[in-house]
Amino acid sequence: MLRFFGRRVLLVLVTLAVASVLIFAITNVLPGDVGRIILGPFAPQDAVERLNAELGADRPVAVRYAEWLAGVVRGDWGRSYAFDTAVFPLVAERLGRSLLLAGSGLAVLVPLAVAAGVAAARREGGLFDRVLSVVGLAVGALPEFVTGVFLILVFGIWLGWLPIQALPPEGTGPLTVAAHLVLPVGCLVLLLFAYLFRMTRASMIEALASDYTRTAVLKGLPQRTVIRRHVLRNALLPTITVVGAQIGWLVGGLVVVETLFKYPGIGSLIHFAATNKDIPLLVGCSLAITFVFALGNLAADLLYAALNPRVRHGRNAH
Amino acid sequence: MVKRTDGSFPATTLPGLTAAGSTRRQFLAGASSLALGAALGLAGTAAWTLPASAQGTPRRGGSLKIAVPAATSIDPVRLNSSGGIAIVQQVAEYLVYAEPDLTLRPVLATSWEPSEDGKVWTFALRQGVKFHDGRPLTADDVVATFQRLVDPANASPAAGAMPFLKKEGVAKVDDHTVRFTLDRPIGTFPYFTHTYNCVILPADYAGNFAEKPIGTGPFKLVSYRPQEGAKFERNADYWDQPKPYLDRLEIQTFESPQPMVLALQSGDVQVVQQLSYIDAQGIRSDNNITLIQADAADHRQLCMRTDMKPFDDKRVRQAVALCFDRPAMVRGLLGGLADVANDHPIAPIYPEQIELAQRQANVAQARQLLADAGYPQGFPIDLYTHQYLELPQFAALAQQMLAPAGIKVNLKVEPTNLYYNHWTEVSFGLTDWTSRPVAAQILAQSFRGSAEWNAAHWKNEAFDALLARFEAEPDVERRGKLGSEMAAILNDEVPAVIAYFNKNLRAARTNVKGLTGSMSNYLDMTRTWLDA
Repeated sequence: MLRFFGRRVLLVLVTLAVASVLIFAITNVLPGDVGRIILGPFAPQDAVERLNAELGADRPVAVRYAEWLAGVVRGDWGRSYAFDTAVFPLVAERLGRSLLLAGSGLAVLVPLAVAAGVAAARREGGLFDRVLSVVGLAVGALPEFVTGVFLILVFGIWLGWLPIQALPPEGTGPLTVAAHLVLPVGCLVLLLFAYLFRMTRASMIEALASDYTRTAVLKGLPQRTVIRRHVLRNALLPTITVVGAQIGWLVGGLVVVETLFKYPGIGSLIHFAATNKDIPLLVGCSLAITFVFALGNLAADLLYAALNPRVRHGRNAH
Repeated sequence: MVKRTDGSFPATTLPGLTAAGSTRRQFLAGASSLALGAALGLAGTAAWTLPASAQGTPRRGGSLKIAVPAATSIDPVRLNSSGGIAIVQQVAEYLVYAEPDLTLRPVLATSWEPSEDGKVWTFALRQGVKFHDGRPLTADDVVATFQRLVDPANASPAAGAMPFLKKEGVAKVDDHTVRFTLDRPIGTFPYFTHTYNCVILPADYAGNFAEKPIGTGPFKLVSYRPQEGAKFERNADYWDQPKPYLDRLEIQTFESPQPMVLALQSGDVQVVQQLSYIDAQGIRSDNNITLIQADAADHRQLCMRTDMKPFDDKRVRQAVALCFDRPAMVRGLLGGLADVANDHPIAPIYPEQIELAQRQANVAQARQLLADAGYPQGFPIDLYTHQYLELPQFAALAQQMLAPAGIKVNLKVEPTNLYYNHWTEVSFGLTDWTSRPVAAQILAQSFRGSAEWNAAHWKNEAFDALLARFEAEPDVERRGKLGSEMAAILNDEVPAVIAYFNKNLRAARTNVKGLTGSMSNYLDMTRTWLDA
């Protein structure tokens, strides 16, 4: 297990290194001129050129990468062009916020979708199964800017029950924070429920129909034990992989949800950095998100391995 | 300011504006005069007046949340984003402030006087004004501020707005008098000191506004967070007591307009600093919300490269201008929230009276002109613009309106950053121009032969000579005559089609009083108060 773990951590580091090179290469071909973007269309051209030289944006990408890497090793992630502030504290704060939103979303979504998937699979084709499959799929097909606006209109404006801005006032208690997160979390759950539900349901059905389940039932084990020890353990494996792969997106890709609910997380930050060609900020955000992505996959792999001995023992199992 | 109880609005869809849809257009004309007349109640009036409720006695206290578009840098020297400008304007102040009707209100300057030839302007500064750190405002601060702005090393957009002012031209006369010596006479110089970067900062300002936000303004900046917003508290030592009326202010920045409108509807914010006609549609019928409209000089320039085929021939450019049904565009694109324009940028809001016959759509004449110029079958052309406000729809409309004359427009709608990389290079480009407090500024920046942003690459010596006299002339009436001559040249030469002047919109909950619109979307909160 330790060797497995060590190998995976090493892989995370390699991923980060490769990602940073890629990110730097990509920023080089982003459209737009940094100085022009910062100073706006009304700035004179010589001012734009002066600023570009001052920022060093006119130097070769390899030189800038080397400098950036040296900075990161020393803990200095550079300064954002557009906000004129240090990148690291900004990215760290936004990352924390995004993790809170993604974590809350997963905490609601995973138990809900897995329980519903298990229940639906045990009575395949029943009323519960059919209703949930159709409704879940229909809602999941709606983009978040539709469901989000709908939630805001209903619960925020007509009923007035919930705050529509996800960011609570500073220094409020956890209850207020939770109340502010209800709508965006609801939006996320509506978006992803169908996906996870169907995944769990399908693998449950497959596992229920398998030989080992029949054997377990035939040897007289109580149904609960069969489900817990034999069915779930196998059926959850694909779900875990899917959730692991979604973590990166849940943290870094929620631009629409963050914008709609005015919840400045890392998704809207990286979107801003990309559209404004704020390279130090863009690279910082990308690195942070890549890190979360890699950690999410690592966690999923470890959990997978814990549930599935074949993985952690490698080829020796065969 | 007008409260809209009438939610109806003329049905305005682009397909209704095709050349063939003349009956539909007539219907629209009827509908809009009815609905707009009732809803806006002010078509034709020059300025909005405050509603009766706002003329009550201002009440001290309360806090207000304002939604503004995204902010980038809040360093006054370099900022250019709407959100950043709004934040800085609460903390620091200009020498003068241009009111919605373009009269000048003395702020940090109490009076200003040009020399005989208009080249030297002397400003008397207000006495007893204190910066937020307690130090008094002196001529040294004003001199340092303007020297900083026009110093090429600081790369400020303000340097582009005031090319006639050099660092050496700013001088202190005494502790409360500053003298500006310009390269050439500028008759309306005080308005230029109202450029958004020109807030007065302490002489020792070191470029760190976010960490050390010191101004003389009505509010002190308490905290600022990128992409979130800023919090302010009342400046108890403000020079213009009992203003400001509000105790606290919060400016929230939004990345897109829809959440702003939703936040206003739910009451999470009380003011939306600026919104487009399209975004305002959803709240027109909301009785809790007041829409504030301001005349402006914002406009769109459909520029044609006069140094390249096919637009090197004046007749081709005139033909393009003749294809546009301007009243239909005003209704279709902006629901009537604009004034028809006549291919020159001197908007009706400016004090100069322009006398020039309005160009009317005439496709037959356009076809004749194209045939005379050697394009009897018309020609294909790429039209470049960017994803911003109604520009993509304008471009689509241009495609429809130019088709009957045989001009086959291929649309190139680009992201904003990409478009601004080459907007002065393309042969046919549609660009948004925001208001400037004086007409000379837009004329000089877009149509002077040597101007960097002369996207039409148009050069006309008679025009340049008139422009120099226009800039220098302090007398409004004489400026009107010179302006009319320039407008006539632009209207005849058509380096750019200018079809309409936009109006600015601002929205507030009805308990917000004393809030005015602004041609530049500036945000002055000194006079705003909350009704209990």
